[in-house]
Amino acid sequence: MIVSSALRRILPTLVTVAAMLVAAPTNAAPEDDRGAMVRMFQSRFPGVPLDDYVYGGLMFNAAARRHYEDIMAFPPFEPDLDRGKALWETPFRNGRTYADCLPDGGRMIAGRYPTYDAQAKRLVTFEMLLNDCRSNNGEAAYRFDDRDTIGVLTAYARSLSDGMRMDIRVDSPEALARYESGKALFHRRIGQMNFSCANCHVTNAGKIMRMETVSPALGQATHFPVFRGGDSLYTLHARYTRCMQQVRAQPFAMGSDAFNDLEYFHSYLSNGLPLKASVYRR
Amino acid sequence: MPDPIKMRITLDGDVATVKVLMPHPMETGLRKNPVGEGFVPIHYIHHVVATHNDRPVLDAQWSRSVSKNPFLEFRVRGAKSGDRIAVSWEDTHGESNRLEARVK
Amino acid sequence: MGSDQHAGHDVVRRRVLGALARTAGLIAAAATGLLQTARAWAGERNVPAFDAKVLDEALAAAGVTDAIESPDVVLRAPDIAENSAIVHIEIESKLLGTRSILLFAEKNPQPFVAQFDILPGMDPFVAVRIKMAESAHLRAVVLTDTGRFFARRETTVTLGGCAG
Repeated sequence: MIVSSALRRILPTLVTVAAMLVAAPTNAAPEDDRGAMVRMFQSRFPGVPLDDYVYGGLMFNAAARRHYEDIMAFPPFEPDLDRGKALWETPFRNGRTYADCLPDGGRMIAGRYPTYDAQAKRLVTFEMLLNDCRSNNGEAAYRFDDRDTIGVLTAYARSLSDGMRMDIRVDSPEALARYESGKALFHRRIGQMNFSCANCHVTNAGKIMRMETVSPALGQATHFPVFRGGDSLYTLHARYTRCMQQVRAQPFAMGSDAFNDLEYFHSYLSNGLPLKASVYRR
Repeated sequence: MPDPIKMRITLDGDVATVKVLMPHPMETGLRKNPVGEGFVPIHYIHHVVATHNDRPVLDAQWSRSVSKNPFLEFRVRGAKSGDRIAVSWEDTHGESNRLEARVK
Repeated sequence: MGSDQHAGHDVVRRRVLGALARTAGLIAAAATGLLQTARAWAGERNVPAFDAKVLDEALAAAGVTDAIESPDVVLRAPDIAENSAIVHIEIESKLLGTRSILLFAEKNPQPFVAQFDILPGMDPFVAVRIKMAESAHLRAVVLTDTGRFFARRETTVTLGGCAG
């Protein structure tokens, strides 16, 4: 009797532990990474709500945040979004549309990308999803570095997921390998200036470097594309390119495995934070 | 053909707050030509007029210092639902554009 | 006889109409002149002011060097403009009889940025986004029925190294 009641008490815990061990989400290692980063930033910037991290450098300066809100009330890049919307809505030659291809018609899905497609054994970013749709419907894929096509299309299409919380999954050993590859790149010192992403966006986040407040890695991947100065469109890979150039490194190609893996890791860090596409940044 | 003017009007009592976005390159003439030599020529909106039921309420002269894709906000008193607000601009190339919208 | 009389009538008619037109023209011109004096270039572009390359010259050409600093001119602009291509500015006048709002950016190649003529029915408020060449003071000058008033604030432009 005593034994069974004791067993009854610990059974739920045993079951939970067993479930965790069996599920072994390969999410386990990424969750450790993300949790460690969240705890580290929260102890460094106490009292800052986690959701505020999506504002990047703006989270440290109320006046800059207010100016951002003034611009976002009626952003100067709306014509670019209109162009993106026109691309999104225009049917392919065979009459189908992006909404036909994408899960849920493309609404509230961007937070799941990149995702690892175990069948095809490839990591799929949101831009690749759009291009897959094109290819599957007889259209040429867009170049990943073309602002006027993939740029404005992504700027509009991602906005259909505004408000969605980032929800990146790492569900298999293969996916974990891609995640780990991205994580390694994030921490690798590169370029003549020998900086890693982590040097600036983890170690020096919140500090002023080159007259600007450095944004924390947490929250960054939620808010792309950005329109720098209100008119220069940067997709996430375009931003990676610019960062690499600034540390005098030869950038990887937009849409390359290296940037896809980096985006996978980088996006996972922002799990749980709200997406908002097409925002103003200086 | 310039991109269409965008206008948002909100009515609070008898005050209509009008926010306008006017797609336009607003070139200062100081920007280096990204392809080839020299500078991108001057091309900016220099005159903006807003009317309320065809009566001018705002008459603005601008320099090239106004930002690209200019934003403008102003408020009109004595407005009511159904009234017409129109904004028109003219630029240094002699091009112009106009949009009329109704107060909801 | 008919055509001669008609011709005569026409000549007289033309002379009378001409005289009336000239008188009307003179009246209109006088009225416009009065308006201009009272409203300082309202409806017309003050080209010398817009062309001036130095703030003091621009203020002089706009006829506002004698403006008095006033808390009733409210100029809202960011203390730090991280991208000088787009600085969101709001100007409100709490002064009665506001006719025009003028905006200057001290260090721009031509400091006179904009003039907004506030016609009856419009609130003395305007918001606009401007380019600033470098850190400088912004000045909003308000022309009223009874005088000229201004507000100024410093906005620092950070050139930025990482924004690209």
